[in-house]
Amino acid sequence: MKETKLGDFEEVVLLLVGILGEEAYAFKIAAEFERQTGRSVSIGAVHSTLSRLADKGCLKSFMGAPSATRGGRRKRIYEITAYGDGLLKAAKAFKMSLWSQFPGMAMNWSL
Amino acid sequence: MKNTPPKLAENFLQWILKPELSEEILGDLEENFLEAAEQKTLFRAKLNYWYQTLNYLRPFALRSSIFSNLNPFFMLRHHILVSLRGFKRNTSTFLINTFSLTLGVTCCLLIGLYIFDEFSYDQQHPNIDNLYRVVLDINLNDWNKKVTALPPVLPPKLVEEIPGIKQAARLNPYFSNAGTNLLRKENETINHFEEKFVYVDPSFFELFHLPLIYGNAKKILNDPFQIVITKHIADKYFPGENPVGKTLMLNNSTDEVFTITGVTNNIPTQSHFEYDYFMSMASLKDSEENTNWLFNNYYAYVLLEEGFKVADIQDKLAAFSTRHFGPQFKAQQNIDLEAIAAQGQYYRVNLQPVKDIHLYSADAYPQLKPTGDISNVRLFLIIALFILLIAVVNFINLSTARSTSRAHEVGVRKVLGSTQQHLVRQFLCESVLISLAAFVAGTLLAHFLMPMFNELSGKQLFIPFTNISFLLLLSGMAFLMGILAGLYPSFYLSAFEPIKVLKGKLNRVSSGGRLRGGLVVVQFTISIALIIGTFVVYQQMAFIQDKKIGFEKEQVLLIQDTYTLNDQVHSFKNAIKDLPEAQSTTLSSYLPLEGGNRNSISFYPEGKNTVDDQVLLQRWSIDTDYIETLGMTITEGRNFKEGLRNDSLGVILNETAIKDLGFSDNPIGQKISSPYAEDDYTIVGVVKDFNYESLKGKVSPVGLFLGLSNSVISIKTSSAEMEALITKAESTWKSFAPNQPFRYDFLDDRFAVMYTVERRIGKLFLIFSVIAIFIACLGLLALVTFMTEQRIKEIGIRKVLGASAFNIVKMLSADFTKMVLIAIVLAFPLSYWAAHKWLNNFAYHTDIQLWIFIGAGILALLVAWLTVGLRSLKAALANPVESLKVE
Repeated sequence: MKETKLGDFEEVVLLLVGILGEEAYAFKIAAEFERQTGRSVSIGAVHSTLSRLADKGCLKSFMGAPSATRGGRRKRIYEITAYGDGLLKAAKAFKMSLWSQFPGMAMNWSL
Repeated sequence: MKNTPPKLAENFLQWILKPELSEEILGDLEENFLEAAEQKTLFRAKLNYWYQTLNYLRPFALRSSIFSNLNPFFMLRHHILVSLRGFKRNTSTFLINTFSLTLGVTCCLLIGLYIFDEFSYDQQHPNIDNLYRVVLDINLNDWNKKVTALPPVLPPKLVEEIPGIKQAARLNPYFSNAGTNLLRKENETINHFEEKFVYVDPSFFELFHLPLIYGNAKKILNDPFQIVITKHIADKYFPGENPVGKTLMLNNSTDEVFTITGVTNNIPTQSHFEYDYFMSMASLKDSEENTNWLFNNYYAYVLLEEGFKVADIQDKLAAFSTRHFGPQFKAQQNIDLEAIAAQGQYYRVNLQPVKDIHLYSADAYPQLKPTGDISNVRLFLIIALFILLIAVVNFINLSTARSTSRAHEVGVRKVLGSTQQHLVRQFLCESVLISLAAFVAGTLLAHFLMPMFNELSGKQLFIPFTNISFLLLLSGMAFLMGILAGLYPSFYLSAFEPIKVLKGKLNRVSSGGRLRGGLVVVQFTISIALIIGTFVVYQQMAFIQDKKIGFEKEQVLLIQDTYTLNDQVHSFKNAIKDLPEAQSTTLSSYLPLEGGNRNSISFYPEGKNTVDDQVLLQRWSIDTDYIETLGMTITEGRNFKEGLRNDSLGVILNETAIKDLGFSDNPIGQKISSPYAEDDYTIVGVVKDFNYESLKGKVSPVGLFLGLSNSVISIKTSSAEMEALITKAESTWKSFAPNQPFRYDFLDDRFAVMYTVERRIGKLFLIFSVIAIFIACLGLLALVTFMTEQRIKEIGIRKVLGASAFNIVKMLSADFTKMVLIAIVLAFPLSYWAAHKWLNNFAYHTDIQLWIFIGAGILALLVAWLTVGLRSLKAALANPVESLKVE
C-alpha cells in the first residue's frame, strides 16, 4: 500500500516543484529552499525526497537538455502529477479547516 | 584557471551511484560547485562539494551491488560488537593485555623515533649520493686508523688529477679564529663570547647546497676576511635588517675584522657539522702557502660526477697517494711507501660517503662533532623488539589461557554453522581491536613522555602527528601487530571440536600449557638478559669513573679565553696565584680532556732514525706548575724547575712513551729527536700514565715540554674555597679585561662530558629493562590469577583435606619456578656473549663477574615468586567453604 500522507518536508518540496516549473530539478529546488527558508539543505536530501515522491506517484520526471555549466550533462526535471496536485490541495484544505477552528484565528479576523 | 570539482569526489560518486542517476547528480553538483566557487573561495566550494557527495550516501542513490559487497562490513560490525562485549566481561584481562601492549608500543615508538633520527643525519643534502668526505686510510707500524684531517694541498690536487671528482671543498675547524671567539660589532665596545667558527672554501656552500637568505652565492667567500653567518646569529646581532656588508670584529683585534657577505639557514642538528660562522678560507694564509703533505689539519669533501663510484677511482687514489706522500715520507721519515705496501702497510687517500659519517665513523678521527654509533642503534633496536615481543607473548598467553572459558562459545557457534574461518576472523578482529587501542594509547603516552625521553637521550624528538605517512605507518603496524599476536590464539581457539567442548571434555588448564610455559620462558630469558645487561653497563660506568685516571680532576677551576689578555696573561696568572684560595695555578692549553689542544709529531731515541723506532708523540706545552696543579705523579726524575735554562730543552715523558720509545732502564738523561725539530730533547722526568681521551682508547705516548700555550688557566683549590675563588678570579679578570666575558668551567665536569653517551645508554638501558620486566610480570600475574581461578575447587578440597597455605602456594609456584630456572640457564650464555662483545669496545674494561649473573638470576626468581606468591597466597588463604559451596 502506498503512503498517501505528505510529510512536512515533502510538502514543501512538492510546492517548490510547482513554483519552479521548467526549472524544477534537484539543485534548483535545494537552492530555492535555502533562499526561501534560510535553512541549508543538501542536494542529496532533496533528491532523495524527490525520488520518494516520484515513487508515491506525486511527481513524474524527464531528462532536460544538456548545459555547459553542468559539464555537458543533462538534468532531471520534475513535474507534479494530478495525484500530487490532489494531495497538495487536500493537505492545504486540511490545514485551513484546522486554522478555522483555531481560537486565536477568530480573534484575528475580528480586528 | 578553470574551476573544476574535486576529481576524487567525482570518481567516488561514479563508483557508488546507480549508473542511471550519476549524470543528473554529477550535473547538479557541478552547477552547485560553480556557483559556490563564484560566491566563496575555491576551497570552500570544494569542501561543499565533498559535503554534498557524502550527503548522497543514501539508499535510494546507491547502486545495489555496493550492499552485497558490504556484507563483510556488517560481519565486521558484528565481530566488533562481540569483541567489545567480551572486553566488558573480562575487563581485567583486557586491561592487562592492552596495558602491556601499550607500554610495548610506547617504548618501540620512542626508540623508533630515536633510531630514525640517527639515520636522518646528513640526508638533507640534495647531492648526498655523490658527496664524500676525504679520509686517510692508515696502516703504519701498528697504527691502524682512518684520519679525517688532511694537508691543505691535497683537495685541489684531487680535483686536478683524478677524473670523476668534480669539486672539492676544504674546512678548517682548528686554526686562527676557528672554534671560539670574542665578537662585537665594529662600532660597539662590549664583547660577546661566540662559538662555532670555521674556515671553509666557497665551494663548501655549493657542495652542501646551503641556501642563502641574504647575499650573492657567487660572491660569498672568495676574498679574505669575508664571513657568512647563520640566520639566528643574524637575528641576534642584526634583528630585522640585512646584515650583508656589515662588519664583525673578533677578539678586539683590528686585524680580524670580517665583512658579512651572506646569511644562510641555521644548520640542522641532524648534520655532522654544526657551525654558525663560516669564514673565508682565503683569510687563512696557511691554506694557500702550506705545501707540507704530512700536515694534517684540514677536512675535505668532494663531489663525484654523476655515475661515478668510489670503486671506479680506487686505483687512481692509491697511485695519487704514493705519488704525493711518497717523496716526503722518504725524505723525512725514511719510509718507502712502495716498499711497505708489500708488507700490507699503507698510507692512502680514500673516500667516505657523507651519509655514513654519523653512524659508521667509529674508527675515524677526529670528528667535527660527536658521532652516533651503529652498534648503539642496533642495541636499542634489539631492546625495542624484545619489549614488543614480551608484550605480544603476554597477549598470546592470556588468550590461550582463557580458552576454557571461550570453548563453549566456540562450540555453540560451530553448531550453528560457523566455519573455522569465521571464528578465526572473529578472534583476529578482537586482537586487532586491542592492538589498535594499544597503539592509540601508546602514541599518546609516548607523546606525554617525550620531554623526559628527550632529556635522557639528548635529542629533540617529537611525535609527528601531522605527518600522513607516519600515521599510515603507525596504523599499518597496529594491524600487523594485532594479526601477529592474534594468529596463534585464533587458530588454536577456533580448532576446538564442538561436540567435545560442549560435552565438557576439553582438557582444562593444561591445554596449551606447554606452549604457554615456553613463552613464559622466552619472556624471562629476555628479562634476565636485560637485567644482566643493565648490571654490566652500570658496572662499566662505575669502573670508568673510579679508575685511576692518573690525575686529580676534582676541585680544579678552568678559566677560559686567557689568550685575549695577550702579554698580560703572565701578570694575570701571578695575580691568581697570589689569591689565598689558589693552591696551585698553571697556564696551559693542553689539558687531559677531549677537545684540549693536541699536537703530535714523531720522535725517535737519539741516533735511531728508522721506521721501527719512530713513535708518534703528543707534544704538550706546559709550565712548571702544571704537574702539581693537575695532581699528576712523577715516577722517575723530576719536574721542570723555574729558572733552569736547560729545561727548555728537557722533556717529561709518560710511561707509555718511555715504553714505546724502547727505553728500558734509567731513561733519565737520554735524548730524543724528531725530523721536525732542530734540537734534541733530554728526558728529565717520567710521569705516571694519565688518561686524556675517552677510556675507550688506550693511553698513547705524551711528552710534556716547557712552553707557552696561553688559552686556559687551571687552578687547584679546595671544595670549601671554590666559591670564593670564582668570585675573586672574576673580579681579577674584570680588572685586567673589563670588556671580555669571564668564562670558566670545572675539570671534573668537562671530564664527565666525555662519557655522556655511555651514561645515557646506561640510563636508557636501565629504564627499558625495568619496563620489560614489568610487562613480563604483568603477564605472569594475569596468568597466575587465571590459573588459580581454574583450580579454585581443587585448592578448596586440598585445604579441607588438611593442606596448609604454604603447601598450596608451593604447589602453585612450582611450575613457574621451573620456568624461571630454565630461563636463567638460557639467559646466561646469551648475555655473557653480548656483554663480552660490548665491553670489548673499551680499551679499559671491567671483568664480567659471576655475581652479576647470580644476582640477576636471584632477582628474576624473587620477582617471579613475589608475583606468583602474592596471588596464590590469596587463593590459599581463602575459606574453602566459599569456593566449594557453589556448584
